[in-house]
Amino acid sequence: MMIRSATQDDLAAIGDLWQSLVEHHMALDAAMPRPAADGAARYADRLANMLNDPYAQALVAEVDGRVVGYVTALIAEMRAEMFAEERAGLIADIYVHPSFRGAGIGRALLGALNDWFRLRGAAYVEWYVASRNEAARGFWQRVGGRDVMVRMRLDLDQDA
Amino acid sequence: MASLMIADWRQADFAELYDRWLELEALRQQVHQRAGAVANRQTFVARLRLLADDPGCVGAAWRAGDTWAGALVAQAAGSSASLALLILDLHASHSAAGRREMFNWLTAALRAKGVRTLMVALSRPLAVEEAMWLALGTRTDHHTYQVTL
Repeated sequence: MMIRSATQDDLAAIGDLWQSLVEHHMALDAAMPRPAADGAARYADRLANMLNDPYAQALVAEVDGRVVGYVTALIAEMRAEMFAEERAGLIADIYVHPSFRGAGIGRALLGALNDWFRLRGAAYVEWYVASRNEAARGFWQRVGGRDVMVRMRLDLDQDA
Repeated sequence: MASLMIADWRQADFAELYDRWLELEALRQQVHQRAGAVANRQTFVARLRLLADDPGCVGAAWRAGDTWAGALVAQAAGSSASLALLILDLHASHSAAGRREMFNWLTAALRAKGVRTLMVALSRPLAVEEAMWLALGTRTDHHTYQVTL
């Protein structure tokens, strides 16, 4: 298994993994957003714009020449102006193909990403996990993530 | 029991709301045993003034007796809105009634604007705070995890 920066040649494979990620979320919670018909291609286009951005990172995990996992991330000022400024790392998406889970690929992606965050002066890392994604929440707790914020949702047309 | 009054949040005394916010933030830090930077009064009030200038912001403030005890403000963008300000006196005996009334005001104003979804981000939520939002009909949608590098 090898962790490396994503290239233009990886974009289609990452788009397919993103599609699987979204379908997994929809299976967990029907209220999660549905992908557009060409969602994977749009995602790949978005990623292409990130590849030359010094404040963005996309890493892939490759096994026997196949991209089986990826992570995308940004450096950002996360706090509102009323808090002291701190540079943070924000994980946008992370996904490992189900057939390759349990082999430490998620941890390896995260370890390489944290090295990149440190180089860019991030003081901490944040990421969002769907509440119903128990497996992912378990993973983040095992790697030392503290649950610091919850997002609540109210559908006003159902609440009336 | 102190008399309750709900008003448009722009009528509230922002400096007085800062005192309530500071109390809530102190409670969060005590419960979570974590010290963090907090805004000074001037910065906080300036942020509320910016929000007040935004026509997409709707919300209510709650006055108990002669004190501004809380505010609930959301920022609408298209069909969704995010909570922009949450200040609550969580332990006062009159809190539940004030919360419910402010929430009803807020959701009515959002519906009138055509908003269909309200998102509420709770930073380092207190158990009582999370329970309050569940009681108001919201459901937990996402968790944010953090690791210090």
